[in-house]
Parts: sequence; C-alpha cells; structure tokens
Amino acid sequence: MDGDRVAMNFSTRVGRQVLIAIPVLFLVIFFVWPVLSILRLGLAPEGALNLAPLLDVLNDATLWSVAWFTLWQAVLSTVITLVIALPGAYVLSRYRFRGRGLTRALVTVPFVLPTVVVGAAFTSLGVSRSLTAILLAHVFFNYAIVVRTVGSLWSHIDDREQQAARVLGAGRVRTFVSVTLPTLRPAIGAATAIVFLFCFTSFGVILILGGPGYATIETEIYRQTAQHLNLETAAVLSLFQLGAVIAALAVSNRMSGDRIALSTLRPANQNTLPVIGKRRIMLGVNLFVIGLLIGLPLTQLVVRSFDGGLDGYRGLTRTTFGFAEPPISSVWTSLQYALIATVLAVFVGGSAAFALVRRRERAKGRLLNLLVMLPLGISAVTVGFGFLIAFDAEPFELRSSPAIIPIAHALIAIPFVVWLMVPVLTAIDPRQREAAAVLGARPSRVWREIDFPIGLRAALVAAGFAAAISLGEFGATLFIVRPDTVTLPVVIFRLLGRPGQEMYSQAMAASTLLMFLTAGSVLAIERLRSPHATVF
Amino acid sequence: MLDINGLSVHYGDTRVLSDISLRIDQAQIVCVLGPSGSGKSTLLRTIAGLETPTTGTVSWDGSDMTKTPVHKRRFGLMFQDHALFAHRDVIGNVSFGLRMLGHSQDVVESRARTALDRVGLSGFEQRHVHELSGGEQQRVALARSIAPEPRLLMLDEPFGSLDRELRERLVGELHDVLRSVGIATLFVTHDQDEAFALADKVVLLRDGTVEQQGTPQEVWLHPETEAAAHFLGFSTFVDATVDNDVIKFPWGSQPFSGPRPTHPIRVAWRPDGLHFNPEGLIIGVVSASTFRRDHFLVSVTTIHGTMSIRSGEPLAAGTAVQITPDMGAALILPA
Amino acid sequence: MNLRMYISTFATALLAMSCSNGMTNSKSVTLVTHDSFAISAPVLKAFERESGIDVRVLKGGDAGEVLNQAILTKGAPLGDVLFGVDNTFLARALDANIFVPHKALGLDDVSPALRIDPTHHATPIDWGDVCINTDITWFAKRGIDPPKNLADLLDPRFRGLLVVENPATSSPGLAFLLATIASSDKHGWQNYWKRLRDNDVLVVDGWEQAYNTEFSGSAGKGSRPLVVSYATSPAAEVMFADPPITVAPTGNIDTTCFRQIEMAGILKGAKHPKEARALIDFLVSEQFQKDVPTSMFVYPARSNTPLPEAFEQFAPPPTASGSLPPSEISANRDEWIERWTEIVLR
Repeated sequence: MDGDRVAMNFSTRVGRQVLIAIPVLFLVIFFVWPVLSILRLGLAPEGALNLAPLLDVLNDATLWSVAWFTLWQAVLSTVITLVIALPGAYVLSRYRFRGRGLTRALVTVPFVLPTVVVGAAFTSLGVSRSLTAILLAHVFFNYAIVVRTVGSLWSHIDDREQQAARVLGAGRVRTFVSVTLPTLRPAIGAATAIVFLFCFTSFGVILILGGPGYATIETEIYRQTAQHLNLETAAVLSLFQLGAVIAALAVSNRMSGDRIALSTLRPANQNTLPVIGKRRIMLGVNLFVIGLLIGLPLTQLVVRSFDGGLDGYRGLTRTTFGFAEPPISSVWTSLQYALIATVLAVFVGGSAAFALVRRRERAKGRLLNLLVMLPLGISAVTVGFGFLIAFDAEPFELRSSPAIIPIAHALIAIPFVVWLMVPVLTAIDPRQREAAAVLGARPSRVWREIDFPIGLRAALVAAGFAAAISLGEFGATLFIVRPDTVTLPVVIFRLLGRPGQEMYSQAMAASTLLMFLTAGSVLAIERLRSPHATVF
Repeated sequence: MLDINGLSVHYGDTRVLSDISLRIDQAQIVCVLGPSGSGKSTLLRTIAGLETPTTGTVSWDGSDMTKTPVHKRRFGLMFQDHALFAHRDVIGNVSFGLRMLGHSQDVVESRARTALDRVGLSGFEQRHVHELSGGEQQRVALARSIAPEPRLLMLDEPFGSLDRELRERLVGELHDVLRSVGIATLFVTHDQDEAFALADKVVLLRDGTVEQQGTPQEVWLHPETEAAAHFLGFSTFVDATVDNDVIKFPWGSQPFSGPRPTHPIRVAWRPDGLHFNPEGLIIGVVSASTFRRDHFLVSVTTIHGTMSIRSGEPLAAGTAVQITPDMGAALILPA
Repeated sequence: MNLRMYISTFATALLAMSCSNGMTNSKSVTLVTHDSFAISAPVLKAFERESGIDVRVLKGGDAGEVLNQAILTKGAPLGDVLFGVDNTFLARALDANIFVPHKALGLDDVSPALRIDPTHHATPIDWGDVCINTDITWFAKRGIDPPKNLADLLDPRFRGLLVVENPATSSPGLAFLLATIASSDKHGWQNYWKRLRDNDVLVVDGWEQAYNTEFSGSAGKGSRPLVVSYATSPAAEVMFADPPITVAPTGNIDTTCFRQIEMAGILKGAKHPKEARALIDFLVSEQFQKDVPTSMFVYPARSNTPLPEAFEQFAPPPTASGSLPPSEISANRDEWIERWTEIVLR
C-alpha cells in the first residue's frame, strides 16, 4: 500500500487513461473485432445463435482425442523446456564468460526461424516424424523465452538474500527452492505461460515434425477454416482453445502473485559471477546442451547452405524465373516491416505494461492482462480470416494494405514486450517513487523520472525480441492477404516450394541469412540498452 | 515552523498513530525516539504527505498542509534504506530535487556540487550508486535531501544499517551539517545515543502515542512513565509506599528528599544506580554476568524481582550478593 | 532517449507505414491469387505500359485458402480478379457464385479439353499434372525398373519407396488421391490405399517436405526414390541444376497423373470491372502464356504456345492423365478425404 499513494495520485489523471486506452484500442480494433467477426459467422450465421454445431463437435470422439493430445503434449513440452532452460537462464544471466552476449543471441535465433527451415534442419539430422521430434523442436524454439524472461530478472537479483539463506543453514537446493524460486516466480510464471501457449497452439512443428498422424486443435482449426471453410466447427474449436488459453493465463497469474518484494534490484553488470571451481562444470554442461540442442541444427542449416558452394548465396542476388525481384531485396522489406512492427509493439505493449503495473490487482487490470496475452492463444488463421470480414469497409479497408503485416507482427510481439517489461517495472522499489515525490516531483514527473527510464531500458530489450519476432514471423504473414512485397521467411517458403538444387541451396542460404540477421538485430539492440551498459 | 495537532493514522482497522501533537521550531533538531513498530516511520511519512491522516492536522507556519500533495510540501525525507535512484549516478541523485525546482542547469549543477561537498563526497559525481559503500550511500542520500534546501528535513533511521564505528563518526558529521545548514530537522531512531547526541528536543513514541517530550536532559533524567523509563535504560523496578520523608521498600525504609510523591509509587534505577555492598539490605543470587565493553552487567535474582547492576568485574552465576540502592539515582514514578 | 523522442519515433514509424508505393498509372486492377502465382517482371511491365493499368498482386495462402477467402468476402472482394481456382475447386467457386462471366479474348485458342466451364465464369489459364516422379539414378544403380503404373506401387519390390502428401493439407496430395479414385471403380480406391499403406507408403503434410526432404532424387537427398510431385518437376531439376546438367535425374510415371486446370475469374463486386476484363484477356494472351512454363512450372492453356527446351525434352505434357468432373469432386471431396484419413492415418 505504501508505494501506491504516489502512483494513485497520478493514476487519477489523464495519463493513466491514455496508457490504458492505447493497448485497449489497438487490440480491440486489430484483434478482438476480427476474431469476434469470424466467430459470429461460425456460431450465428443467420444472426441467431446456433448451438447445434457445438453439440456435434462435443460428440465427436476424434476431436476429443485431438484436444487431449494438444493438452498433454503442451504440458510435457513445457515441463521439459523449463527443466532444460532454467539452468541455462541462470548461467547466461549470471556467469561472466567470454561470448556470453553471443550465446544469448544464439539461443534467441531458433525462436524466430520459420518452421519449414527448422524442419529441414532437424530432418537432415535424422530427427523426424515422431513425438520426440515435436518435443525437441518445442524445446529448441522456446528455450529463448525462458532465458529471456527469467534471465532478465535473474540478472538483477541481489544475491544477499540467497547468501542469507545459505548462512542460515539452508542447502543449495533448499535455498533455490525457498528463496530463489519465489523471487523469480513472476518471471517463471510468465515464461511458463508463454511456453505453454506456444506449445498448445503449435502449428508448423506439429505438421512438419509430427507428420500427418498428429493433430492439435490449432492444426484442426486451420483445416476447418482455410481448407474446408467449415466455420461452425472452427468457431467451436476456437472457443475451446480460448477457454484453455484463459485457464492457462489464470494459472500463470496466480503463480506470479502480486508484487515481488525486492528491496533492491542490482545492476546486471555488477551482479555477475566469475566462472571458477564448480561453476566451470555448470557452465560446461549448459553450453553443451545449448550446443547440442540449438547449435547443431543451426550449424546443419549453415552447412546445407554451402552444399552448392557459394552458388546458393550468389543466387540470392539474381532474379530467378517467377520472382519479381531478387530474393535479397526481401531483406530490406523484412527490415522495414520489423522496424514498424517493433515500434508499434513497444509503444502499445509498453503502454500496457506501464498501465498493468499500476493496476494489476484490480479486475480491470486482469482484463487488460488477458487481452494483451490473447493473441498468443488464438489461431493465426482465425485472426487472418477475421481481418477479411472485419476490415471490408472504409475507414478500415486495411485488408490489402501493406500496413496489415507489421500490425499482425506487432500483435504477436506485444505479449512479449509486456512480459519482459512487467517484471522489471513491478520490481521498482516504491520508495524510489516516494523519494522523487518528496523531492518535489509531481506525480506525472515521478513517472517520467523513475518508471519511464527504467521501463525504457526493459523496453529496449523487448524491442530486440519484437524485431526478431517480426523478422522471422511466417504463420500470421501467410494467413493474411498480402501485397506482393515479400518478407524473407516468405521468400524461403517460396524457394522451398520449388524443385531444383539451386532453389534448395538458395532457400538454405536465405535461411542462414535470416539467422544472422536475427542474431545481429538482437545483439545490436542489446548493445543499445544503455550508453554505459550499466544499470539495468 | 511545523505544527502537528491531534494526528491519527489508521491502516484499515489498525491504529498506527494516535493523537500526536508536536512542534518543531526554526533550526531546531527534534528526535523521535522509540522502539521498532512504535509508528516512527509512519509519523514521518504522514508529515511528508505519503500517508493520509485519519484525523488531525499538519501545518507549517500556521497554514494547514494536511491536503497539500507530497511534492508541494518542500519537506525533505531521507529514507531508512536511502532509496537512492539506482538508474542515476551520484550527481543525478543529488541534483534531482534541484531540477524539480526548475533551476537552470548551472544552478542545479553548482548547488548539487555544494551539497556533495558538504557531505564530503566531492569527486564522486559520476559514480554509480551501487559502487558506493554504505556510508557513502548514506551521505549521498543526505546530500540529495539537503540540496533543494527543504524547509523541514526528515531523517528515517539514517544510520540504521551502518556499523557502529561508522555510525558514531557520521552522527558527528551529521550534527555539523545540520547545524551549518540550519534547517528544522525531524529525525527518528531507536538508538538513544544518536538521539541524545543530536537533538534539541526528544520525543518518546510508543505504540503510536507520544509518551513524553522535552529536552534531552529532561527526558533522560526524568522519564515520566514506566515504559519511558524502561526504554531509556531503567532496568530495575520496585513497588514502594511513601510515609512522610521516608520511602518504605520491602527491605526497609529509606529517607528521601525532594518533591513529595503520592503513594503508592514505583521506584526505578539504571544499572549504575545499584551497588554491591556487603551490608546491603537486598539479598540475591547472581544469575548471569554480561560483558559490556567497559563494564559488566550483572543480573541478580531477588525476592523483589530481577535487578541489573553495573559492575567492574564479572560475578559467577550462583554467587550470593547484597545490594544497596543509590537513592540519588532513583526515579520515582506513580505506580 | 526521453519521452519526447519515444513519441516522435512512434509517429515517424506510423508515417512511414502510411506511405505506400506510388502508382504510375491512373487505372489499376488488383489480382488476388495464391502463393505459387508468378510472372516475370518484364512481361508484367510490358502489360502495364501498353494497357495503362497498374497491376497489384495480393497473395493469400494456398489455392484452397484463397478461394475460401474469396467466398468469405463475397460482395466486398479483396480485388478484382481471382487467379488459381482449379478443377478440384471449380464447383465450389461456381456454387458460391463469386464470379461474373466474361468470355476472354483469345479463349478460342485454348484447347477445348481445358474449357470446362461453358458459362465463362472461370477462364482456363494453365494446366499441370500431378504425377509420381522417380529418382532415375536410384533405380539405375540398383538395376531395378521403376514402377510403370499405380498397380505396380503395391508390389513388395517397391515397399517403402513412395512418399505422398496428405490430401487434407496439400493440393498435389489431393490430386494424387483423385488419380487413384479416377483410375478405379466406385470403392476400389479404398482397397488400393489399404494395400498401399501396407506397402509402407509415407505420408507428409506438404509438397515441400515430400520433395525437398524425403525424396532421394532432389537436393534434400532423402531416402525415398518415388514421390508425388508435378509432371514438370524433372524439367525444373535440369533448369535449376547446380552445377548444370544435361540429363534429368528424375522422371515421370505417365500413367499415375491427374490433371489440374487452373482458372481465373472476375470477382463479383469488383471495383474495376473494365480493367479486370483486360487482365483476364492478358492472362490468356500469347505474352503471358509464353511466360507460364518458366515462372510457374505448368503448361500454358493456349494451344501452340512454344515450350522451353527443357520442357520439351524432360517434361513433355502427359497425354493419358486422369480426370474427374468438377461437380463430382466438389460433392465428394470432404467424404473422400475423411475416408482416406481413416484408412491411411488412423
């Protein structure tokens, strides 16, 4: 209650309303409205609610088994990801070793690679068409989420609490369970929720690495919507998915609890540990896991891109039959979209994060939180087809505008921006705001002097992630109607869609290019974090 | 000058401060002394405007400030754990208040440097706060509080987390700084040494109420309640009655001069008001001796209760002793 | 970075977003199509210059998705012309009534076998066959003759050699299923697939994975020498070989083919009907038809359009392809796929 008085004063002002209005407006227009439009068409085609399809679906044993598989593979994938990635998050956020920044960028790369490309890499390593392949791919893709979300908080945690526990006689494990885990709980809760949502709504991984024998709710929605135009069944499945997603978010909210009572956060660079003694083993084991799980498939990709010597790369600058421009020009298109999507996501997501920190405990705050997270849990095809119906008239005739692509990318990036920023913002000591107020800062100024600069640095990290998401985004881009300006992932998809060694080499070369582009953008923005690269 | 009148604060149903009245004059240093949980911090926070009183007023120079927002009060508050801005360097912290006043860059810069100079931290401008030691952080916090020249400076346990030696040195330094700045200061602590070393006036706070206030000498020598006495180091309490010029103790009567108290009474001594004496009338057995740097504190079990006595050397537990109280050092309280 | 910069960066980005590429001509037309549509830049530029019409291309996924999008947006279409409805989807498009009729200039030069919509709502533009491709080297090395027809695929000698696509998610997958249906009597195909499954056929979800990853004859160096692909794929292997080669490493089994005819139509509610008609006429014209083989790897609909040399040599148009009436496909598609899924995947 102490910190909130300063906050409350401000929260009665226009500023807070604006902070809430930005994400709410953006999401209602570009997400809720399209999704409701398509659901309405499925559930109430003649204007009146028709529950017959609902009953049909509920009686369909096949769909029940699809739902059951969706759930348990998601739970299993999430657990495995957490078990493997949590130690990695620790090592990458706390140990001081050469190449740490590079490793951190490396683990982020998979997250943004198109599934087709990863599928090719996995398959050529001999991993394909099995549950194991699905699980491995889920860890491969989601490792970065845990490292980013949990690591960003971990790097700021003051060790003294843990040391106190050790002194009080708690063993390593006990200290971790009773002191470290609770402190990290908000971040772990957030990471768990994202990873679960990603695995629950997994699409490309299931299709490519699972094979036709495996189906999830997401692949079923795609089939019913895009292939059969069976909107009734799709709508019922979407509702089912929505229910599961809301439940997952509720659990995660519970796990995150209210505020974390961190008295101080320490600057990350003061908080690293030298790698000596047993830490060498810890570091070695984790680097080995990263190398095996992430490094190997990525290396395979690079190796395949040189199958035809340098020809794959040379080919990128030529206009091949059937392409309007050389593949390389899509890099520029991708970067432009990424820039716009990043700014949109950071602006909208950042506003939401600031607003959420203010009113997290309240019902409205929970609603906003849910609203922001939902795009992760709704099928891209539902949103894409929703756009078609929702934006068919002025002033929102956006269906065929190039702007729709960065908007779709931003929708996916916003939850990450929020998830990366909220833990840092919640951890701001309320006394800092009070101190500023006592020193004569009026409430809006307190926000500008304390919350904003601290939030901005978290936002820069989030921006790196958002840019990477946009660069690699493929699913949503595929489901929305887009003008003939292609992004790099779409080029890769089209190259892979054609026979011939040359096309294949070019696709691998383009994938390698995308990989380095992503790693580069993440690295660059991390450098940008602070001129002195010190606090936060 | 600050006037607090009938101030009460509740957190929900819990009463934290109750009917506090207090006054601080120009350039006066007032120290609120009380055990943890007595409401000291809440008092400061309420004066600063960070908490809203349920009843009562806070006024400055006669004008009511109870409804004035925090940032318009021009009071300084130094937080217990300093609450330095982790995302700013030392000069960024110290100049914060000056910037809020809207001074030009030059003025902000020079005054911040003056404040830093005053606390002996010239040359630390560009350092990050996490690079500083506890004592340096404390001084930065002090400089940050005094730089905008608040009309009232409040310090919340400013030395709480520091080691004793550093604390003693800083208390001295703080005294000099406060005198040289010459602003009204309200300062809370649980440490009597700090309070009596710095204050013009001491306010004893207990369970959210003012137990006693007065000059350090008055408060030190004449606590008005048993709780106050207890807090200020009186450790032996005995019930007694008064008969003319004689106080009747369970172990016998002792003559007493001074204002005639009404009976029944309670008489209290600090450890140095009791002495071992082979002819003493109080008989007891030593239960423990504790080393206290320049003396020992000996606990003695007697039929009148436990007594604490200052001693030059330790006494073994179980030793039979006899004690004489020094009536000149006795504190007479109403029972 | 301060608050003002934060906001101004955002504003700049929004501004950048609102600026779209400037069009040069006053007239324009929007072509809605699938991801595989392609046209050489010079051919398109020439059309734009001569007609004074700018062409905007919108892509919306695969052929099925694009058609479904068009049905969903009926009355407020995304563009003026839809390209990419094939004979397997034609009946659905006609039933949904999304096209307005237009008899294209030059339609008479299109071979009559391809003109399957006598009402001229949909104009045939190109055709392609889905056939089983063989890895010639693989069979040569082992001294085995490749299978000659669908029945051969059930032979234990060819066990575990074929990879096909899921008809539920892939257009060539569906075409191959239709080929097996077209070549047998009413329920014979179900029995055929049961036996194919027993002969260890591999099912994957998309052509990319089947051809690039599982097929041994292409760049992916997979393990299966038989794949459901296109009749033109062998030509592509030569044209995009690296280093260049003169003999195709893969070939077609002519008797396993199914014909897909791709059509275009003017969308009902089109904002530029006049330009739309001009665009359809252009798609049937000689200039565009000549470009079709190399940009989309299909055969041009217009008779007597010269084929590139690699096509003549390694991918001559199959002659004995199977086909089914569009209405029959439309009526049974979902049921067939459902049955197939039960037989092969469950």
